[in-house]
Amino acid sequence: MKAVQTAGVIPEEKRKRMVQADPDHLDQCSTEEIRKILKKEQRRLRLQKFYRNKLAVLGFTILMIVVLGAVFAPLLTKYGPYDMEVVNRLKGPSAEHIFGTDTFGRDLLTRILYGARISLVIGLATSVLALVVGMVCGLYASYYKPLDNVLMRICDGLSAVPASLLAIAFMAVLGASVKNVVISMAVVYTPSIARVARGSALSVKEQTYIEAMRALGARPSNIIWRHIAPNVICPVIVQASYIFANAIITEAALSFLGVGVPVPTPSWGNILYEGQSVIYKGWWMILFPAISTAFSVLGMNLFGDGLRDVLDPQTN
Amino acid sequence: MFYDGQNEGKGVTDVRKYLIRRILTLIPVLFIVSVVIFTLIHLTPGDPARIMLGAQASESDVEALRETMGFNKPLPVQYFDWMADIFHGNLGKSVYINQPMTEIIADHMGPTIMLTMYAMIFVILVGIPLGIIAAKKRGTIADSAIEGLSMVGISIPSFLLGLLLILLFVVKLKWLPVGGYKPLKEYGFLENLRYLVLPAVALGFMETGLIIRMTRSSVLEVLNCDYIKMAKAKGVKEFWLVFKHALKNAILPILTTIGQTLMGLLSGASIVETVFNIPGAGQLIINSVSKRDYEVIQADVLVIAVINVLVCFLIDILYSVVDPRVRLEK
Repeated sequence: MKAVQTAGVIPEEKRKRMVQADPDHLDQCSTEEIRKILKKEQRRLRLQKFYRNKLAVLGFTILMIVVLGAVFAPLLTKYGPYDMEVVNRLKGPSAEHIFGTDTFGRDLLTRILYGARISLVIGLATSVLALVVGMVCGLYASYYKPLDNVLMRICDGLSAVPASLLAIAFMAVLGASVKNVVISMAVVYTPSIARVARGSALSVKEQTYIEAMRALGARPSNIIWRHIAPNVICPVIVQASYIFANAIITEAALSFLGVGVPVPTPSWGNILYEGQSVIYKGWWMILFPAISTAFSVLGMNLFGDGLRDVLDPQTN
Repeated sequence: MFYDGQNEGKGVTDVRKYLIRRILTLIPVLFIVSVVIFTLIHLTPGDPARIMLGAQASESDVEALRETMGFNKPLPVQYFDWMADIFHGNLGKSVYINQPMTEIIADHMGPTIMLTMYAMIFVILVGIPLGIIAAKKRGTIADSAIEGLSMVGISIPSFLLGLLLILLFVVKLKWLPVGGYKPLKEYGFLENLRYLVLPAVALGFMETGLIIRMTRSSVLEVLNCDYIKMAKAKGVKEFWLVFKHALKNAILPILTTIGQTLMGLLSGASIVETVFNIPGAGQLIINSVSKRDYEVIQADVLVIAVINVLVCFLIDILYSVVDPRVRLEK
């Protein structure tokens, strides 16, 4: 309150100079400015905390390597993902083909780089879709009791079925395609987001300021999206980061089983599928895609852990 | 609280009440699981009979299949027929395998259960001791090494590790068979284990990483308690301190994680089975996907889901037996 009162007394120009010279002059700031300073400080502390966590930084670096590799795939290799050199079928690593070639004589490094694109896009699309749908379900469920029972029971039902089996069954019905992989995995992972969102929203909902909003007659959608959602978003984002890693694994598994990304589109899973049939002759077709998958999942997990420490300190 | 004998026998009714309440909550969950699976399978765009038989099949064949499978009835009717059949012990019938569905699934369940069991043993024998060591030697190199191992474990999906293990132990070293399954009854324990050891390790590795983390943090928490300091002051030996005094309280969260582990293993088994060509319930699903044998998928997924729900239920019950606070809270 004091800040608001004094804000008008000192001339505007002088006050601004004082604040800039010494950020501790909080008593000379308007509430708006205090809020800005606090936000900036909070962001700085979070970043600092993240940078101190060496594993999280390592995870972020790994993730960036994968992302850059995927984005600049055409610049990094001189081959296309579908270019076949039948003469060079299933040749081991050499100067020409660093990771060797596959059963059709396609450059493996190229296929893995382009496969990273598919994996990242599918992972991102799945986690964003699950995040949006899960947030909506979780928030509305926490606010309306009857809806809560229905939605949460559906979530119970969905999560009672093992995730990979549910995804496989879904793919069996929908048919193999990139779009269907995203849809089925989003269905599989939405309940976990909805649970997290609902759990945090329930505790936020009980707080006095929400009660006050309601007493003032604010619209429910207004309360939910402007006042509850911002307080729920942190744990939800952390959960979504784990879903990203899981989605990459599940996509590889589905494609490996032949129900995910259809050939000839390169994906880590279907490269491994081809590799398994020539496992005695072409170890490189297993080793390299396996390492790249594990590498990116490791990066994602480390990054997710760091994100959790920064965004959601309560869970630690 | 001192024991005064007045509440004798009260604990038993508590357990019974809790049990009844939990069993009652089981019914809606099972109902919803069945609805979810049914809806999922019947989402099939187009005519399921036509898809099952392929474009070349004659119209009369398709019509006949539609008739026998009941595809021409309304969906709710189909659902209730399916449910009625299940309560009569009939899980449906496969289009390709001429055998009652219960037999098909029972045949395929055996290998899956064996595999899951071996993996579970691996997880417990490796994960819990490593977690305890990490907690005991907190902050040392051993701790960081175990932490690193668990992080790597969490990041390697089971089928990837399976392929890598095959590459090393089968292709390179030629120590173990590449895949397949030898039933315990006919071939004995050693032969059975020889075929399942790689799949079990592949399947259990990721869950081991999770158990290590969980054990470490929960043992650490308990080790900081006053009663442990007291025991230490009394001169209790290090070994007994950890295994008798600390583990008793630390085991509760670990127990929950083990329940989740079992679910994870059952779920992961389907993919590992495909890698190692083990004729289990998971492989049955994968094979049925390519044959578009929806009835088998539906029945198989239902059975696995029900097992899952029951495992969760049992863990809950076990939890309430070990920790009376759980049933008093609610």
